[in-house]
Amino acid sequence: MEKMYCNMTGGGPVSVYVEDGVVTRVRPLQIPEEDFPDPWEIKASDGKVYSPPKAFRLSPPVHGEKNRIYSKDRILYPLKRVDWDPNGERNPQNRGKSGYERISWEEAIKIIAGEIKRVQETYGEASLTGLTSSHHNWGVVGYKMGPFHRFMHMLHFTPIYDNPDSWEGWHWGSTHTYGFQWRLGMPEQFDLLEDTMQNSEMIVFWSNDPDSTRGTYSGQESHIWRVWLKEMGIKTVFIDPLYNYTAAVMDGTWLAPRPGSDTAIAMAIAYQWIIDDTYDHDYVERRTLGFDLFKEYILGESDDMVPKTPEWAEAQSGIPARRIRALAREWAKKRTVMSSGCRGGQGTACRAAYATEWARMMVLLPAMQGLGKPGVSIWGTTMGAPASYKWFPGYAEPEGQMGRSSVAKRKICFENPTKQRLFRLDIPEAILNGEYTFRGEGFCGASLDQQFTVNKYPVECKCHMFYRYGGSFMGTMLDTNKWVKMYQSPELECVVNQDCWFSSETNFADIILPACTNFERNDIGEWATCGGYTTMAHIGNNWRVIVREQKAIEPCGESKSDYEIFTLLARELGRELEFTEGNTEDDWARLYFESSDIAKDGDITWEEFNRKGYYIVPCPKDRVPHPSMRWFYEEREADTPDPGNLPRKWGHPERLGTYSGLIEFASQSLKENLPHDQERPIIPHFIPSWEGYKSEKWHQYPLQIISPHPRWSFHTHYDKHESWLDDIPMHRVKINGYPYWPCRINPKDAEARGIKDGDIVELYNDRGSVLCVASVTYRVPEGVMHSYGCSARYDPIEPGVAGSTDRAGCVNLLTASTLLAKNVPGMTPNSCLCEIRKWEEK
Amino acid sequence: MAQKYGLIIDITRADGCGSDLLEIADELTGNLNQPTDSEIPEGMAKIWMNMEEVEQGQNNKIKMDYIPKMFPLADGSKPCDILWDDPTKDYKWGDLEDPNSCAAKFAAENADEITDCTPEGLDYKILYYKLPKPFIAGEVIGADGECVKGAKVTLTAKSDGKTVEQATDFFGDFQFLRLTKGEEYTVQIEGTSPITVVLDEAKDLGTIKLA
Repeated sequence: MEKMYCNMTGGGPVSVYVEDGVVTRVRPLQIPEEDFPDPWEIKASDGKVYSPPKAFRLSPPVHGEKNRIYSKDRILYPLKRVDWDPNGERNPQNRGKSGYERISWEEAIKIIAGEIKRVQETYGEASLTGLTSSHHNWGVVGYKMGPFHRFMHMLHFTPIYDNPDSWEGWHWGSTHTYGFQWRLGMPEQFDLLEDTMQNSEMIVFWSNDPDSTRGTYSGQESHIWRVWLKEMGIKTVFIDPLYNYTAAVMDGTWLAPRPGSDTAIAMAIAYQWIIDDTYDHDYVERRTLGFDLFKEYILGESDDMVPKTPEWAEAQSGIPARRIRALAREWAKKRTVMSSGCRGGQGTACRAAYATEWARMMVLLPAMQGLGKPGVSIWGTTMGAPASYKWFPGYAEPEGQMGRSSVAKRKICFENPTKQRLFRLDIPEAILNGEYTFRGEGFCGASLDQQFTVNKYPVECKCHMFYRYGGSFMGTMLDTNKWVKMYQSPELECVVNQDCWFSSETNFADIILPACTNFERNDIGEWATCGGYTTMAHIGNNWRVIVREQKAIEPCGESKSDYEIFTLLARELGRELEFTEGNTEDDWARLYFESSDIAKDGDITWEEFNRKGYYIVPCPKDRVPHPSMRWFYEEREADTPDPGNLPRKWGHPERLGTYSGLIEFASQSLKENLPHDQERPIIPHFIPSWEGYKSEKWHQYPLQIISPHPRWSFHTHYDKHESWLDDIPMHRVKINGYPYWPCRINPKDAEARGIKDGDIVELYNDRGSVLCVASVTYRVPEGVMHSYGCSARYDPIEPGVAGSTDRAGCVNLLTASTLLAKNVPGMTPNSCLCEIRKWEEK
Repeated sequence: MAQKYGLIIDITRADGCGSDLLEIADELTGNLNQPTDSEIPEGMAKIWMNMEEVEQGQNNKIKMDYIPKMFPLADGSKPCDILWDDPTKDYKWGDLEDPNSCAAKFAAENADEITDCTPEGLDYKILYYKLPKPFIAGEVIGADGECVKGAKVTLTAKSDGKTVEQATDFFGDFQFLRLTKGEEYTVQIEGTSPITVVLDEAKDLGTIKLA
């Protein structure tokens, strides 16, 4: 008899059907219609009332979750590299090439615990390091920041800062313009769906493809909002080197800039507003600082003495001056939304050379038109539905992490005395060179000043044991051949990899441990809610859904939950109770539940929630909208339900998070900390990319390639492991049975190189070589290519050889290690030049 | 084979997300599926459903459509209810011979935009609403080199002399959508010579400068 279990994914809530211990199908969570509370309503400017349908729209690959659970790539039992002997020869030079043999869990745990003890006794506790990948299977108990962090901090390992990859230019740049450092530079998004539907006349989507990036975790929920906006007749303009999927669906006007020229276009728009005198003088005077200095630069009366005219921007971008001018003029006439990334901010353009300057302009342009005025906002079109704002723990906030939460007896993560840190982007440099200096503290969400700290490695000792949890980096980091070199370094005496599936780094490990998915264990989680730097992310959904994630099947093979794996290791090290506090995973789930407002308000008991499997949090009927930044426009105290708001905590709720509390054309934080920085100056500047149009390298590699976040997979989730995706046209294309990753190229560039649609092609530069399948299309302009990042497959023709051609489409192999700016350690995959040729099989 | 039931697929709402292909694969391998060590059917998109991306136009005047393509199931069974159970989907399934069914009503109201593309061997009809048609687009530039808003653009079809008028938007852009393939059209912008096009495929006329 078929049984249904509830669960949650990074792309929405699901019903998992099981018969005879086997998953038969996975569907959007199926609940009786009477369990839906009344939907919210928005009365729009066309007089109609809009409401969401009573259904959940998942992110596409989640429909194939069953295919991923039973993937041929599942790691089923522990493995040891055949030529690695912890008591003899370790052969690090063979990592990536060697085969593996099956071992028992008992042996695996003994070896790993033994190695931890050995390195820590020999070199120091800090010689153990490790990190997770960016995303994980959903669920607060089991999420990577839970068990992994609690265990590793308990051992006093060297933590590794993540670079704020999705946020880069916003995190390091916009924060110095309008604060929101507690949101890593993202603007709040509250009630902006309603504001836009009631008040806006135009949306400029700048480096934003919300139909593909989906507000990160909210599945296809916001698609209907953009359908409504189109039906209402709102004008849309898309500025993106790719004619992206949202542009196609909304039939917007498409402007295709050369990558790296977006700042110039933004400055030309500002120039036009100044010349035409069509900006909001009153707002600029009341709510901003430093406009006169900015105006001088834009008019060419300071610094480079170059007026930032549309003609000047045309030379940088390839977009005709007349169209930049026309856009500027219409923008000033209409109440316009700046949609510069899927959460208001983000966007491919923020991960490029000097991208801070672009992200700053994305705030300053709406500021010149009265940011916060009805209809004038920074809104990604993927968040901002009406909702309840009760608190439920998310994985990204301390209260949702078993090593930092009040539900734990000991907040072990805060007790780690190790001072040294590594930085994700440059771990290979640090390991290979033995030392490394970097700026900032990864996700600098506590203050602006965190960005300026200088950190040296090592402080305590060098790292010799690397515990890798997940394995995505070949397809997601920079210049990724360097990871091959790092893994083969004798500095790393022991490498462990723990994952559910064989991924791009798995076969560089000495010991491989099989973890199970959230479908094979119990957990608890709310749809889209991560907390932390993105509070209230559930406003990207039409419904607020909390799920008791129910174990649907037994773990495949000998896989175990991550919590159980770390418990076994802790037991071997004699520290089990210290790690678990006597809690099972179900105990932790209940503790998290009881800590939430849902439980404290008595909305549903644990017993009822546990039995039913889900709870839909109703939107209050008497809701009062608080559109983002309206308070700032009206010079009131911030009234948006953002628990992270720092100025409010500091007792200044009427201020932004900048030093002045205002929007800063001239950044006071940059002035005070790095006043002579030419690469992130006090006033935003246009700085040509070190690897872009007409740079030195361009003469050898004249094609600019961008690699945005993928559409049919999520990060490196689902690609490779969900083989059905190989049959989605344009996710991969099968040629002779091999699923190639598409690269989009303009017809003129293709013709010049004898390349036809469907050819296998080699993308190459000094750093790497990658095979793709050519998609010849007008969707990219001449001189530009597009190929999504985040290939989960890494398939070098010569395994274990750095620089070997990758067949599977890890275009990140081509990208540069050079960071965003001298003092800005952000990633830059979208400042990449390469060439392309038809691939001849040798 | 006379098909009583039909599936109407609204192409204007197809967004190319690929969900449908995965939903069908999930549904149809449901009862066959076994744990990890067995074979999962490969090439599912060629067996049950596929999606064709259709790109039209040139330069910066392009459009995309996505055509879901259904294939007959080997065992002759009906398509999955899951595709149109969902109120957010834009499929309509129903009895085409019953004038009260939503599918039949929709087909009757939109008869001139419905195309029957039922593949051989299928025991139900596949009807597409608004399959892609070619367009003509362009940009009007003033004598001063700037974009021209509000310029009158007239399109005339040779076969029946019918005309359609439009005013350019603030970018100077115009576009005439859903035209007839193979038809000869004349585009006339006030103050310029007429442009004649035999429309084999969607056409970007590029920039047209006023005198």
